[in-house]
Amino acid sequence: MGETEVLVVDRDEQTRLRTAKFIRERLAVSVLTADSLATAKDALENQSVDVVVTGYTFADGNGLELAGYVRETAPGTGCILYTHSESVDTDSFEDVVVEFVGKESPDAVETLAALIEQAGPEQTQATYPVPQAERERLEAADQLLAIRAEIGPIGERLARLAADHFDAKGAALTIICRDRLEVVAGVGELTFPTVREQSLATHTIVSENGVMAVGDTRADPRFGDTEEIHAAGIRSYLGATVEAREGYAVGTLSVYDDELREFSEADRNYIGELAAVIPEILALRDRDDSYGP
Amino acid sequence: MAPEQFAFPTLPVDPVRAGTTILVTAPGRLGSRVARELAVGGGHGDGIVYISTNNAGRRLAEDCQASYPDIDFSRFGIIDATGRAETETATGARIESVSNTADLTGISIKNSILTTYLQKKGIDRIRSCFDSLSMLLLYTNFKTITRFVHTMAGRIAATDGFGLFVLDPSMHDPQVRYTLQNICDGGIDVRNEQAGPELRVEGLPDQSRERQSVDL
Repeated sequence: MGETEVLVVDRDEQTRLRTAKFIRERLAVSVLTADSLATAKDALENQSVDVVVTGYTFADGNGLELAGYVRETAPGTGCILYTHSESVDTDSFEDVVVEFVGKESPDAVETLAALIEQAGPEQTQATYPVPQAERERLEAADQLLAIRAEIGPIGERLARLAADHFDAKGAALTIICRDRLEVVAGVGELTFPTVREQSLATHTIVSENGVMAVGDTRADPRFGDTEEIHAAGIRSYLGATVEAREGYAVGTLSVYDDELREFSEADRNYIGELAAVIPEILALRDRDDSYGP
Repeated sequence: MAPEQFAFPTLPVDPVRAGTTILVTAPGRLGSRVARELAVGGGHGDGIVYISTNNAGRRLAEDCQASYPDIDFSRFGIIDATGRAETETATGARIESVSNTADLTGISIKNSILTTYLQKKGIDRIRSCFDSLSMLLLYTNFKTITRFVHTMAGRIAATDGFGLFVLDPSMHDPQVRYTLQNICDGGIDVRNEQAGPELRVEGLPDQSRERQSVDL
């Protein structure tokens, strides 16, 4: 995982540069700056940003508009409104939900630094639960992605076994990265959303015992209003967490169907058993490596 | 040095480390009663920010005055999220309001404003109580509520505070409770039994896992 990237947006040059300098020096992170919504959007298009720290008033809009844009285009990115509190009007932005630091606060910059540290890698503004030790989990996911060429054929066989066993329309082995899913192997007709916020896998890795069964995606409060799932035709789902080294929940093995399904305890156990093959193979691979060439 | 723990002398709940957030699950008004006891009860001297979706600000302040005669209202901030904006009170509590219960961005900002107000008085140990998520869920979709709880819990962790979120699980799918408790550090489940209310602490270290009767 790369260095934390912060975007500081403020129309006042002195404030912008002072804030950027403080963040850069205090947190040893990379900081970009922008002086308007337009330049901020340009920066966001060209660069993955972990946290946006924005003022409120701009010539071409306001900070909550920018936060709304970030929510749409980069759901994993944290937003902190950093301004004088009396200036903010939240009408029309009720569901944007930003963190807020009033510039008049006695320890404003200290609070800002603490919130950036929280909101960055741990994604504390996500619309889904983020596993504990997310930073380490992402590193483990990156390590697995680095050997995807080796894992891919095994994933393909596991996905096929799962699809056949459950007579499902689709099955996949995915790895969950910061903002999206990487599909390592997939079989069948159905596609599925690969934006982390919209995915079923995101909730699977924090499920009880690592397995999640959804008999009806439309009736489930977590997915009922996720149009991307319904547009893909996914009506039911069964998935199990794939663990990598040290037990980090890096991905899922799952089956999808376009019909309502009921999943039994035996079904949950079966998909869990298949998913457990991956860490076993990784352990064997590690052992072989330790024997040397 | 680690910040001092938050203690609850009037309830069978052991102290928790600073930065902890708890989902309080209970039927009906029982959740509010337990959350108030955790946030306000016990004369702990911490600052309090109480986000109220059911009772308007003035009413909440007066209720707390009746229940806790020794309460120090100079340490008490309320966000009236009922939409009724009853911000005037003779109690001395500072009450902010948002235009309606769905204005989560407004609640987040007012929460920071009240925190700053208390900090300016030299009060930096703050207990935040969001009462209740069930009411917020009536007005806003689940994903947005999840983001809201995440954001508020993140701030509480970053500022070494203590936070409570109240949910009536009988009003929601079990996955709602599971997801929200996953974002919090732990839970306190309260039930009405024949002999009276009982609570159980879930998911927090160094706590009893037994159901224990509570006197409210």
